[in-house]
Amino acid sequence: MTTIEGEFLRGAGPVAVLKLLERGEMYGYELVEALERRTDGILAMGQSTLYPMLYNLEAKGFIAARWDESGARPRKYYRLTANGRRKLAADAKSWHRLTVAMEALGLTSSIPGVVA
Amino acid sequence: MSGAKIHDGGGNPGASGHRGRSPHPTTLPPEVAGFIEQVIRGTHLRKAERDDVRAELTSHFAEALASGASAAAAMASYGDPKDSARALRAAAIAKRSAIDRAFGRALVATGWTVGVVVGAYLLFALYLAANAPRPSFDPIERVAERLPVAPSSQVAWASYRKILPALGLTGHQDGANATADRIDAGPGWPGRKPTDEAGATWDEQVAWCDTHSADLARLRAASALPVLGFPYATGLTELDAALFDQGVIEQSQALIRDKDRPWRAFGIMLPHLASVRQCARVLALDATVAASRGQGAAAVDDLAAIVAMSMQVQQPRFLICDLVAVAMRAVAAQRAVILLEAMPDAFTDADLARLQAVMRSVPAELAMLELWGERIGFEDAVQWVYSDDGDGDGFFNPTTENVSMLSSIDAGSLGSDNTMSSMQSVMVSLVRPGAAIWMAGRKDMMDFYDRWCEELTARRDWTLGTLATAAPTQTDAPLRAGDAVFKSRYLLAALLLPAIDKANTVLAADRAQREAVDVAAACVRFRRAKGAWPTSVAALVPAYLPSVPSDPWNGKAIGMKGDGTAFRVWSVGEDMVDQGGELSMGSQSPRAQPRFGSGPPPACDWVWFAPTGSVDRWFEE
Repeated sequence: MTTIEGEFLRGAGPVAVLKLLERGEMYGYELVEALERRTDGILAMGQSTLYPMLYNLEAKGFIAARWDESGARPRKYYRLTANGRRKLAADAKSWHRLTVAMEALGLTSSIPGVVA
Repeated sequence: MSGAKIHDGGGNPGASGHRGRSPHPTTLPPEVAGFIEQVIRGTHLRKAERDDVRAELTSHFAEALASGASAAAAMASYGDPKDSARALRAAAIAKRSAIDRAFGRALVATGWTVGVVVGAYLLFALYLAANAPRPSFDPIERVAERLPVAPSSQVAWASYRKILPALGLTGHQDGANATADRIDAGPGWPGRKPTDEAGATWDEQVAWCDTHSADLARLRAASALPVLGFPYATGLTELDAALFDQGVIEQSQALIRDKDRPWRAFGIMLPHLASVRQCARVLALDATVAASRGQGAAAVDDLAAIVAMSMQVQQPRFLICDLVAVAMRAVAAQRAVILLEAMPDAFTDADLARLQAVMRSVPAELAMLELWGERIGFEDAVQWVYSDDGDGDGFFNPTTENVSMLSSIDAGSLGSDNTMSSMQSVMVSLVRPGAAIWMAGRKDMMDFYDRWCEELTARRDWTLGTLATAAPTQTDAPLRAGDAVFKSRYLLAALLLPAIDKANTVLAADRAQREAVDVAAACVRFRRAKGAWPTSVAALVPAYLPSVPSDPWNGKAIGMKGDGTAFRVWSVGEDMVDQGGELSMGSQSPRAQPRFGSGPPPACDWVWFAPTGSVDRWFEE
């Protein structure tokens, strides 16, 4: 991974997590797998990076967590908060503008799913 | 695969939203459990936060293993445990409240600061331990360098060590002085009863003087020698055994021998001072006996011997020696005036002229402040309590032994046993670096001392009145004002300098008292020549006085009035008010010695000369 990719991923990681949680709550390992699976491995960040990221998002109030011990294994589920939804909306707009700009330069093609 | 149960310990309710419920134990392979613990340990988080992270990672790895991944693959996919620990720590801290984070930062900063300060303090303590004071000079040798030397025939001590025991004026504590003490406590004047019940009668005093006339003659002869020769630098010997106890001689020898002993300058022994001072009183008695027999010349001889001995005592110029010398001259001066008032006819004009010469014989230098001896003592103290950087500076860094010495000075018991307990010694060690930082440095302390001595010395020729009304010296002012901070920084000076403070006044009084004798003798001579008392001091000049004496208290012309028995010569005295030389003003003490005490000065003049025919004023308590 080149440096520029790393920088992009560092900025993209939190938005990607928020986006995944938009559809409903998920636990940590589930997020790890979803990121890898749904981005063809592009955003498969190191697992050790995910949990600090979740803590940071939680600290900023964008997500909230709860433990669920009803299943075979205890799981900590994360869900999007109202603040998190606003943050996701704002970040999605920024990403869209960036994508459009890059596309105008002939650097990218439209990326389905990233919309304003 | 054996398994290990991981408990999350309760989690961090505020941080995770877990609200205190613990996930039930999960079984993980030991290597995974160990991996998680490695991460947890690396976070250095609080217990609740660690528990929360542990539960999260336990859940993570349990899911990974459940999905079919091997333990090794799960750990490899997770990433580096150290990097993870760092990231988790930063994120967990970010979850804390703003106040919590600020407090944590302050705590860390405080910890670092305290650590740095304590580290620096300990390093400084090591530096001080490695740089204990190393004395660089021998104070006794330095004193010896300034002592006058002369052939043995010109050294008085060789005679005094024989004459003083013969007169019973020894330092022994075994009653050997009983007779001399009894004579000394006698009335000292014809017709008066002893003031002390144990004192000898006048007749007994006269008989004692007659019995010891040869010894007194030897004493007078020895007083005329130029050098005292007391063995300051070599110590007392068996030759002094008749004069001092064996213990005193051994102490004296030990001081000379033991060059590593701290504060030796303060240990210099002066056991002869008491005996020599008693000599002054015995000689004054002998002068009275001589005058009562009309032998003025012999009386002047005795008084001259007192003054001469006083000058010998000022070898060397230690302040205590000066004070004893001044006290001896005061005995001579007062006795001279008494004799001039009560027995003027005992003295020929030549006797009186010689008496004047005796009183003027004290060189100005010996009647003014000189602090080189005190400086040696101070510098010696400094070299024992300050380290030396080789450039004249250093830190206050006394050993426990020297702290004891300082304590003994503070307690007013210099040299007493102030041995510290081991706990006190530990405390001293702990406090030493702080004290070294707080206290004035070596150079600063010496500068302070020299500055103060310089300011005091600049006042050495001031009159009594000027000294009495003078403000504290600029250097001394903070100490006088009770500035506790200043005193603590200049502790050594604060402890040692007050003794010097009044020296100028004592010496000014010495000059004035001898001048009083000079004037009184001049008046008697004038009256004898002219048939009447002088009407002004100016009339005495130049035939009987070299110049018009000024009042030592107010600097104006000395008071003079009357004729016949009402004739008076006076100074306005400590109250600075001219009461016309009136003797009935209550206290008519002829003593010019300021009281050094509080309260208003006595409302009376200091009457220098009052030939009333009565000596009562001199013997009143």
